Amino acid sequence: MAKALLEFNAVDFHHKIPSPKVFNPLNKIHGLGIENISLSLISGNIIGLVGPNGAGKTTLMKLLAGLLIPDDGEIIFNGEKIENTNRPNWSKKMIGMMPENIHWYGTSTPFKVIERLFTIRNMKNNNIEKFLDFVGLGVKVHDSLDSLSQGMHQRLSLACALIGSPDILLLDEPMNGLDPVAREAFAGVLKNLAKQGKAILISSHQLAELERMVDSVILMHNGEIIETGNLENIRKKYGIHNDLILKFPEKINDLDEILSKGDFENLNYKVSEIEDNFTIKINSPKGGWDTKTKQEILECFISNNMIPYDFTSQKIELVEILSAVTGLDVDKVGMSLREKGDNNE
Amino acid sequence: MSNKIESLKLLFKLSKMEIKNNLLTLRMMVLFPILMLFIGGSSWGFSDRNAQLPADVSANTPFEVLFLSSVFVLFSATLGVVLIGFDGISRKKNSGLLAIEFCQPTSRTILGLSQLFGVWLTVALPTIIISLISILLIYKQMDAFPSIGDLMLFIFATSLVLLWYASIQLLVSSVAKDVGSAVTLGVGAWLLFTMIWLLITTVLATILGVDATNMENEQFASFSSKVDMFSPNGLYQLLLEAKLDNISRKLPIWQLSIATFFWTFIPSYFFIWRFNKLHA
Repeated sequence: MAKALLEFNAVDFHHKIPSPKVFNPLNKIHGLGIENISLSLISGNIIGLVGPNGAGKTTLMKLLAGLLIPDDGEIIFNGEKIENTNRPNWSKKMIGMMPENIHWYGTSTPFKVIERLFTIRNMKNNNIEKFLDFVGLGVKVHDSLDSLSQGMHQRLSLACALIGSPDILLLDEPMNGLDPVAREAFAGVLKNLAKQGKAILISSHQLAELERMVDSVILMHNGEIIETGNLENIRKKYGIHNDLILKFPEKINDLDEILSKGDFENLNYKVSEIEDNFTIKINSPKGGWDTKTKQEILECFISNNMIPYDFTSQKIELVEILSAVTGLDVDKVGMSLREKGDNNE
Repeated sequence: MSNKIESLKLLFKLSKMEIKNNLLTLRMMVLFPILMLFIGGSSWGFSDRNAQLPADVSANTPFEVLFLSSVFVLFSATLGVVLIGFDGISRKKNSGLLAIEFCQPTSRTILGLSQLFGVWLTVALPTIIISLISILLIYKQMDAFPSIGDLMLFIFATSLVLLWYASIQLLVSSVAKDVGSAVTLGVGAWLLFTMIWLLITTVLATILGVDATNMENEQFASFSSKVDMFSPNGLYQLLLEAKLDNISRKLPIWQLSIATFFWTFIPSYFFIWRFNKLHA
């Protein structure tokens, strides 16, 4: 049975925000953070950490990596409870972290960057080229950081996380700046690492790109975990189904009449017309689509000489899942900013 | 015990790496000729017996030449430490590299000390080498070497003042949120001790009733020597003055020792403390 390499139990953390006062210029107040977080990173599993901007993903990543110290809660590494304030080196060895948006610049080279980290880890420097080759930087080993593309910078960040072959990989927005080909290769690398028994946590605000590679997701909103588990099960649980999209080369004037000929109950749809494209988006029924209904809708149009040139299902975006899980309106979930934080001095 | 030796070895390796990286930067390419001109040039000029120095300044012995050159060390080498160290922490913090380094299984104290030694020795080593070259220039002009004791004191004091500046620079760099504030804080700290300190001394003297209108008077000399203990530049000069005979503002050795101890350990302690608390 796969074992939990790292567990968080009821972990709380609030950022301390400077709030100078006349008689106390160093005064700080509690700002936003994360609350009551419990999770397990299991050997061989790839978990997606999903949430909108400001949900607390990066804060959680930093807490897991030991860069921030929790205010409260329990941390267990390999079954051993450790002190929140002092992470032993053996537990640090287990973690490889790829922070979000590292700005690699200057005349240094990937070789020098990795060489320094090897030295910090007290590792021998004789296989750096081979190591960089693994992440696809074999031919750029001695090029200056300024001359590398954004995708190559991301690969270098990944290489930094892989140093010392850690058991747990924490990757914060790793797909930023990668082209589709590199994303595919990246997904392959992660799957291989998971097969070797690594626990991988990937944060992203783009659900679609994670869907192909993760075993389960952790959904965060306003600093809390609001749902965990397999994405398909979450969809089923909240009755979230894909909308149907039909595209026509010309406008359909008698749409209500055409659809009324079919035996459909409560069919909700929206139309949009951009230049020569006439698009109909039909909302999914509560229980989801069945094949027969889809066929009937298509037949309905074809029998009226309205042949769609495209007939697809719209991908469900993060905002729709968040809306379903939180019960908030789609617009509110997307635009609302967090107002939490206890402001305790 | 073996753990401590391993830590020291790691500190040595990381410091060496830091020095190597710093020495190959454009900043160092700019700094090196400045050090050469300021320290070497001033030693050559002050040791020239035919030179007419302003304000009755005279340098009759090799150590007096070194003492006068120390002003140029303060204008060049300490500025060099500012140039190398002002963004030593803030640059890594803003780029995200500090987060990666903090994730590694190495104590932050070792990382911080290697940063400190890196900045310090990057400037201190060329300064010492140029100072040694200056000794040869002085010999060429005066046909005399400073005594070993004088030379050791000069190198010791020069190294220390650069260490104090390195600690201050890295401390302010760890506070800075961006490059702009790193420059402001770094250069501001340098200006405070190099340019504004005399003004602070004079204002304090006036407030405390010491006659500051005549800087030659003994009361002011004694007062300024005490205030100078709170400035790295002032303490550097006081340390060198301890070996000069014709100086009226000498402080007891125990006071100089305490000030030196505090300047060596307090700023660096604060830097390491801050580095350990830093959020990457």
